[in-house]
Amino acid sequence: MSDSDGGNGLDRREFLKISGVASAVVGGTGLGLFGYAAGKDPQTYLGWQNEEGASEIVDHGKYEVDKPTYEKVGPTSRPDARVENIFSRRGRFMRQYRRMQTGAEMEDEVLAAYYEDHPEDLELDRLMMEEIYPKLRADMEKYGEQYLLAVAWSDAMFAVGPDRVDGPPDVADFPRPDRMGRVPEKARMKDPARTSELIKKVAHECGSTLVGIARLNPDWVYKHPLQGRGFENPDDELAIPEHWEFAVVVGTPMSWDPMYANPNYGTSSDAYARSRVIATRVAAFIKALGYPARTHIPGNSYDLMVPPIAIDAGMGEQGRHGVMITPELGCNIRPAVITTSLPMQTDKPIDFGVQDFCRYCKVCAENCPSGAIPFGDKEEVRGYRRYKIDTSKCVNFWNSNLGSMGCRICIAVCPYTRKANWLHKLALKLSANDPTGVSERALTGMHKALYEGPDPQDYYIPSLGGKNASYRKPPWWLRTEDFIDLG
Amino acid sequence: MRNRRRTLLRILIVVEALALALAFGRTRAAPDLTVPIGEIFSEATSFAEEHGVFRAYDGDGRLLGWAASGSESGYGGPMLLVAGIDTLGRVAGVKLVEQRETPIFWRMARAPEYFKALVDTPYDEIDYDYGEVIGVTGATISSGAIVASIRESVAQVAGEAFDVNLPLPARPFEFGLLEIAILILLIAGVTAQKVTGPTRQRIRWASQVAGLIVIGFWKDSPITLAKLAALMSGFFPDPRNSLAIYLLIAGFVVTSIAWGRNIYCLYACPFGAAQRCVGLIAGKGLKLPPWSVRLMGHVRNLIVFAAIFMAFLTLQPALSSYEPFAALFSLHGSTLQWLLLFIVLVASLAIREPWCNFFCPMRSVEILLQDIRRVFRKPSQAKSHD
Amino acid sequence: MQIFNSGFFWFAEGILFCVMVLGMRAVARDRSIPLTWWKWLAFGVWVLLAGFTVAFVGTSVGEGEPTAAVRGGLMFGFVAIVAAVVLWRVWMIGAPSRTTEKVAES
Repeated sequence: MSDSDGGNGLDRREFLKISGVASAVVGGTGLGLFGYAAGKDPQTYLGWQNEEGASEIVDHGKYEVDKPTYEKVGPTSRPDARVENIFSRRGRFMRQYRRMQTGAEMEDEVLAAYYEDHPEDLELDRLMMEEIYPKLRADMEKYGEQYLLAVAWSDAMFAVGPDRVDGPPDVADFPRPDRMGRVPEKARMKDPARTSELIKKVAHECGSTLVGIARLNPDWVYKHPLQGRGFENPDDELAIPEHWEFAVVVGTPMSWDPMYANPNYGTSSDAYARSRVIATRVAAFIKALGYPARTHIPGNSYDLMVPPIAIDAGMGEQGRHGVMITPELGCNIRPAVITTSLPMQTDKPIDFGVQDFCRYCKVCAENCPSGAIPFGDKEEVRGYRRYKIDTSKCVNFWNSNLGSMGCRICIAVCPYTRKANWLHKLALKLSANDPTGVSERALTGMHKALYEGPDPQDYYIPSLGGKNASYRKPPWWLRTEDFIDLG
Repeated sequence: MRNRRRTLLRILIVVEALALALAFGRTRAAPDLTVPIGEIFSEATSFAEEHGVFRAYDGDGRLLGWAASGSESGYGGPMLLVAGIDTLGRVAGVKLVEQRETPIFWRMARAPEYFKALVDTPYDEIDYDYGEVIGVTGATISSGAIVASIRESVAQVAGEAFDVNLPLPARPFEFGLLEIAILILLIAGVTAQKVTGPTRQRIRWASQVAGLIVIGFWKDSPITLAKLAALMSGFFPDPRNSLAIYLLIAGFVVTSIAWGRNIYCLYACPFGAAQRCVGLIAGKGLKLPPWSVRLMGHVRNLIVFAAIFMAFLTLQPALSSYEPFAALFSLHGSTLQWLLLFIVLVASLAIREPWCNFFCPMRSVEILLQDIRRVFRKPSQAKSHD
Repeated sequence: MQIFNSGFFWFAEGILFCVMVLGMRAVARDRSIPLTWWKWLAFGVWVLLAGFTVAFVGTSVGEGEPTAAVRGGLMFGFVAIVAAVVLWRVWMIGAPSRTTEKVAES
């Protein structure tokens, strides 16, 4: 055998010459492109990578659809936050609890009517006071010290925060007069599309990892305002102001390593604190342009439900656990909303295969210690078909944990909540682009085989039959015993 | 002749040791049901039993409610649980008293939540749709046993306390594709004995590949040590929903005794098929020296004996299963089982049937059956196996 | 760790891959194995598969998932080993058997 391929008229030397020239051209061009990319690389904006768009690792355009992936099936209605928002209801319940113990009638008629229809929630609300809190108190004495660094870190992240909204929309949303007493006029924006780009860039510059813009669907606005939102009477109906036309959704992830060490070592406060600061800054920016803006920020300072708005804004889809799943961060995102009338072009919702995946996967339901996540199908909730989680069970468990409180296990175990390395990006591409469902099955099977967690029962505190387990080991800097002598 | 006596002695020792273990396991006292019932009715101080239904009374002699036990066969044997109904006819509580399912089932099962959710439900409005409530896909026998046990105990209380006859649902024979496939494979195996040469080989390949697909990847229900040990402990699963395992084990035992070699291993076992397929990829395998095969065979026999011994002693057959079948067929397994699976499959590239020769409990059982066959046959007829 | 994110790392990997290809070609020459495009394709696929396995193990260890590293390594490692055997058999297609090698070479 010989190397030369004399048969087709191009001899070896000629071939080498031509290849040499071609290589020089291609290689040279490549170096030029390399230089351009190196100069523009968001990773080089040290400290401001996300602000330059380093977090936008998925092209949403590929997955855009006209309608969001939850379905509207019947006549819709707005949620009654007084009882359907679990924190609001628990607040009302606590105020009534003493009366109820003496057997007296409940003063709170709204609550009484709700419990009439949902006796199981009354049981679960009582369980919290009567069984879980006393046991938690005892276990905190015994085991709490272990989580000192986790608590300290959570406190640190939440130490600084913006003021809450302090008035009803017609007052608090509008720009205030400046030192000269002038109220800023609405700036004459050239083009809604350009305005969107500007607002998104500003949101990124304020530190947001992801941004989306939607037209506000009134179905997501609470029928009654929550406490502490500047409304006179929380039992009056909340009239949706005309200037709540658009919603800008911002959001940041929780720190990854503690998030995997949920429930006891994780916290929501890091991402909460960042998202509320970002939302408040973006609102201030919009107000300075002369337009009204109102923030809806964690924890529980909202006039509306945030996740469906984020889904409308094309940031992700709803998962089985009721949490929004984004292609970039999985479920590891804590969003906040700014409602405004600044004319902007809205984003389209996306469909990257989550509905098919969740129908099959069920990892979150299998790992949820509280049994709040359904194994079954979607249900109709206020006219929309979606997965409905049992918030009373959910909150009972996450109130029973040590550390900085909360659970977030469903977020940690979700196959979509993986770091953005080549492996998980590849898996995401596979599941998002495979219409056959084969990859969903294969990926789910592998996820369950490879990323096992503890027995869900072990997540409970010892007094409730568990072992204080966490999904993954805490990062080195949250292991209290390595830094502090524990008694 | 002396050989025969030695074989007989070996059989006797093995069988008797196992029988002793089983006898010991079985002698443990039946659990005192008033303990779990006392947990359900926490104020109860005294109990009275009639027709298997307990009444719980408080210190003042007031009736608190009734309780009865239910017992239904799961994957590794019967489970026993107790359901209490209060005087208003609502569920007061459900307690699991005994169970023999795999740890992996309990890891995934939502049984505690289900039991909690049942509390305060009127006894005739209980949701028995186990697929929804217990939620372990692919573990219908275990989940079904929980639900059926509750149903049984509730029905007993309803009959005794409220004079209401709650009919237990008719359970039809489940005769599906799996059972049909097993029958076909067994028939193929029997038929193959009538032919020779390449035809037999062709039948064997076809039926093994079919077994790999149906009994393996689709249904993941090969014979396991757990199922066999459960049967031998006298825990007979309900044939109406576990016909497959009866068919497979019957095929295995009958042909082992009748022919010396059994059609399950040769024609139906999905893991054996997987091994052969892997071996096919590599082409001709190495032949190990016979002494090494024999030595490893002894080691395997010892392991299997120990596993069955423990299964009998503890009466927990499900814990004795070390096979990595589920790791291959449905990706369930411990890291050790993954390692075992890897070693066996890689080894089967080079040597023939490493699982059967070095690890498989069924081979040990087969050899025991072959020994029994040899002992009880006239010496002139007895063919020696290798 | 910085080097693994750099272009130089992939440049070096490319060179090593080319050396591997040259080595394979030399082996094929020595044994008079005829080379075709589909043999090289199979080789490329196998390199991707084996590379994936090794990278998977490394990534899993790196992201703090030792169980995934072990189980995934076993799972993909087995597939890679089987694929290696298949690759070997594909490469040997058309090769003279050992005993006739000398005759064929002359």
